[in-house]
Amino acid sequence: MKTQWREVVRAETEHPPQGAKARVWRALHEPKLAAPRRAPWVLSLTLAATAGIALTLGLRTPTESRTWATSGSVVALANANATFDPASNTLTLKQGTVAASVWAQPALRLNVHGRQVEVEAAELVVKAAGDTVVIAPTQGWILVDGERVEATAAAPAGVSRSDLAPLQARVPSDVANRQAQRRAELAVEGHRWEEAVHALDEVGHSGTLAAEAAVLRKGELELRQLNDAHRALATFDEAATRFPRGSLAQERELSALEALVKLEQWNDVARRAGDFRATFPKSERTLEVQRAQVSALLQLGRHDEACLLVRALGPAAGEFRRTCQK
Amino acid sequence: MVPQAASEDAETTRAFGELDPLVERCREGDGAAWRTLYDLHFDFAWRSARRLGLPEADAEDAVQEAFEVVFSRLNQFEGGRFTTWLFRIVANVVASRLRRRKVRDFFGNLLQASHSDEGPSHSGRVEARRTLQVVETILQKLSREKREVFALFELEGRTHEEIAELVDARIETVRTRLFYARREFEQHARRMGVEP
Repeated sequence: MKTQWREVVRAETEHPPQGAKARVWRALHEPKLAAPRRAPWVLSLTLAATAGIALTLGLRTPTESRTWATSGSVVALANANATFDPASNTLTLKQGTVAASVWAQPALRLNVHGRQVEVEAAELVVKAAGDTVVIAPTQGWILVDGERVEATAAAPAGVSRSDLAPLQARVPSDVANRQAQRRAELAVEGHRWEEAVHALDEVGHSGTLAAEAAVLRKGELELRQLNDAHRALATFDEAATRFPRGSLAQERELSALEALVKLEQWNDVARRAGDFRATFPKSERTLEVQRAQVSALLQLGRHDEACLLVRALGPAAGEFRRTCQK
Repeated sequence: MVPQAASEDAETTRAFGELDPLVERCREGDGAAWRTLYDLHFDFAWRSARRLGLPEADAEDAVQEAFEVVFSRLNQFEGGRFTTWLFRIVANVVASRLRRRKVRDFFGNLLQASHSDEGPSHSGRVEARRTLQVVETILQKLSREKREVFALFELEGRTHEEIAELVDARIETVRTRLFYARREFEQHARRMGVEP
């Protein structure tokens, strides 16, 4: 009794719960949305733009086109008469067109003829001409006077792609990657799998860790949501070529095995499972992989090899033990 | 002293044999090396967090936070035992989380609420969970210094010398902290119905 509590606590805390290691590893690789950190050149650009706007106060004619960017957002003013308050990140538009692409905190606030617009994850065009105001999200969603307005597939009336052109030309690649990641997140939330896959494809073109995670996520969506194992397998193979020693190699190989099992390509399942065990001998998923290998070998009629593995697995082989006893 | 200590030592020594080149490879940006480093030390980080009194519900987040620190600051690791460095990071994360938890409990008594969330289970299991919760609660009541020394000695089976290295203190200090930690633990334990 005297030492019982020690034994209980040791037993209860000895091992993490099933899957914890994999969950934490994945979480370590998921992109985090941080408040944008302005690079010095961006800051000077912002200040210049702000100063430019301030200087035009009181002028009747709209200013020339300008663009400014932070690490998470880009705002382009096309012949707009506007003022910007950097303290509250609020842009007040009087006349002209604003195109904005905002995918990170802090949210951009727009004040247009008394309408309050809040943008945290969207691309949008806002036009003010005379008494007419057009507020149109083209991707993501915005809040207009506190009400959520989603982008629609069709181009909103009064908005053309050319309104967004000055924006596209100025988006730096790191901002574009963040934007694509955020678009993918939103698409996954809305169960718009194809859209998510396309967004992840954009992220996946860079050579970063985020790119590796994006390619893997894309493959998983193709496999589990779009039920297209062929396409998923091609994505996993592409990831294996591009990131042969990547941090997520283990997850990639497990998902590739899942795809091969769905496709019933038993030769490849047996081979790839064997490779996995050799490459990741300490993986917490070894048991599952070994069972998949046994299953594939039995499908192929290679009973002797399968039963050798079953014997090595012991009680963990479960129902396979009966098969090998016959 | 405790059977686990020997196996833990063997595991740590084995890990150390591979460690230097592994850390070097991580610093060079080798993704596979990061994975190996993580695989080798995840269980250690988890166990340390739990045995320092962090409830299971918080442990995953805490270990993630600790590895985020490891990954971002590996260049600052100046050699020596990697597990010593990792333990200090985990202990910092746990201390910070327990502090926040104390504030939460003070205002919302959330701990009790989370305890009552448990579903039905077998009586032996219930008893084990209750013992664990009582020990966690007592560990959370101890000061950080006492908690670390106590957990390392009583639960991890570490020697005074090892504990001194892990917590960066003199052996005499470790002995003193352990003496007072045990006394405090026993007082709390009796009050809460666990025989120390």
